[in-house]
Amino acid sequence: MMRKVVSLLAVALIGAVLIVALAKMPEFGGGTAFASLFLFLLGLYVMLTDSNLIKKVIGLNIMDTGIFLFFIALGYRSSTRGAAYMPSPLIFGGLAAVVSFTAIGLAMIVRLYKYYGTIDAEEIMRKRGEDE
Amino acid sequence: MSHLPVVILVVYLAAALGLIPLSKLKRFSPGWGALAVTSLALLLAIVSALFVGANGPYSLFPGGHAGQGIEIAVDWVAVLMHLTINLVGLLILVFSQGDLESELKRSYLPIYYAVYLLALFALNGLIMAGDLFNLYIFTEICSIAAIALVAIKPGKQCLQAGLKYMFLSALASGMILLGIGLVYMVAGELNIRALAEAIPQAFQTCPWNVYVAVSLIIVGFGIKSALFPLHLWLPDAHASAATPSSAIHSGLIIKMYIIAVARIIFQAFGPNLFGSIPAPKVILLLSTIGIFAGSVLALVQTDLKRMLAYSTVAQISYIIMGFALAVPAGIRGGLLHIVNHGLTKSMLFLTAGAIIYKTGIRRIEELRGIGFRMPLTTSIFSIGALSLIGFPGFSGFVSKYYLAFGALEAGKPIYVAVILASSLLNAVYYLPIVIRAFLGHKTGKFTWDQLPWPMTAAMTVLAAFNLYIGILPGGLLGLVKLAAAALLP
Repeated sequence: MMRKVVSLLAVALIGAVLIVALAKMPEFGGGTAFASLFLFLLGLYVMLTDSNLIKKVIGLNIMDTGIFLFFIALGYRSSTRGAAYMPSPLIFGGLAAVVSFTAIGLAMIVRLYKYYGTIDAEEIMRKRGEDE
Repeated sequence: MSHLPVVILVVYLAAALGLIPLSKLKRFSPGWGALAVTSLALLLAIVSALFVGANGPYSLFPGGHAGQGIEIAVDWVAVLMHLTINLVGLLILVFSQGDLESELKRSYLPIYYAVYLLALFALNGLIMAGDLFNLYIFTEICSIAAIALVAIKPGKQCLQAGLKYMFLSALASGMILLGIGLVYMVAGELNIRALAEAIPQAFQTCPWNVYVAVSLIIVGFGIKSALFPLHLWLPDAHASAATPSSAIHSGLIIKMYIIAVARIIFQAFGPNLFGSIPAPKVILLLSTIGIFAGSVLALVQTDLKRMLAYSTVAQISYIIMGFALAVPAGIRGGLLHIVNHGLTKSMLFLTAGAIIYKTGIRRIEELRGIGFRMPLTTSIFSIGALSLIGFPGFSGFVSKYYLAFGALEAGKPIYVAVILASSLLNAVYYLPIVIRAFLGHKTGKFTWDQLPWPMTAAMTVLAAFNLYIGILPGGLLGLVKLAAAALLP
């Protein structure tokens, strides 16, 4: 419970700073960018608080999707300045990274399940405590 | 000749991809194959360094537009780090010829070597990335290879450590990407040179955006390079991984992220902007806490590898402190400590691995009298311990001397006191091991180490480099001065 409150506060703080930073930019009115930041924060919160390891991985994916959407929102804005070619390779790179992180993470979770018979992080910690 | 650094990358990538299919051949040993590739890369790095020495630093623009887009910057930082990475990487690989079969399943060996080469590939690319896109991609490849190097060893502990590392590393990657996005949003550029021109104006129009981008990038790379409160993944990962993985992690990987973030901060954002925001003060404070907390936590550990891992937390804080001082002498100290600690800590992890290989001892208390059973290994451990304490005549002294000099140059003499006090703390946890190993109760009679020759050779060569840098630091210092000037003119 304590952990959830602390995480919520941390995420809210990061969100407030990001929104303040974006809102102070001239000619920034993109609802897409705000929506993408909301996704980023949602994913971050799930990743920090949920004890189910698979849900943590889902949170990670939501977080990164938020970042990609943020880039797309920027690409739309900057297309008027003729510099829209750069975000797409960066998103490709980011996508490849997230897919790899997800793959390696899920592989490790499968093997952990074989050892402990659960994918709940707290349960694993408890069983590990009993082992020692 | 000017394309040599790219050839290094191509060689590593091709070898990493080809190693697994090739290992199906009966007569092909993946370990010696990887060793041959790394030796070739070291040779290429030396030739490339001589070329840069003769013709001066240069940049390659694969996109075809000089000054913008993708850039491969072959400056003195890249030369210095190329030599360090390929030398240390080669020696760890030599060691693993003797050690790895005792730690991994035989069928995993080709995969291990392929991932190891992939990590070296990413490290070599990361330190000469001249634009944020390349830098991000190589950071990701390096992170994923690093996670695989931890998680590949069978056992619950490695899996848990790897999973923790994976989540924190992925979080850090997200932050770095968001930071790069925010920079791109205001500056419209990703090339570091172009950014250096575009950022001052962007800072005028939307300072908040730049603040947030700098903090996201620093926190992201801080997680990956284990800046103090963000080091949570490090002790588990470094202590549980296979010996060569621990050595490359502590010795190379976490430090090259610091080079990457130093490039972004000093070359793109510029030292003036960095000095005008509170970031350096916060980083200096955190690294000071990290130096003491890492040392104190190392002091209470009972497991040898875990103690070395916490010692890495303390030592990495020295490097970060040197860079955060943002004066030439501090950066020289930081770069020197990257090289020295890279050589020393990988050597210490290898000696710990050799002790575990031979005797199975992991607990520090049981090391009493180990100097009589493994005299050479224990002597090499002592050289590393004295170097990290900063004993005059050993390599750690040279870098700590420059760090202290940097603190004076920056007008912050308090950090000289920090360095002195923490050296004392280092002595408190390293010296008892050495003293007990040689002067503790004599158990059994005196024997030589009797290790496989690749392990002995790798440790001896690392020790020789350590002694050489400690006694004759002149050549390295010349290189470091040029590299520091490339980061902070």
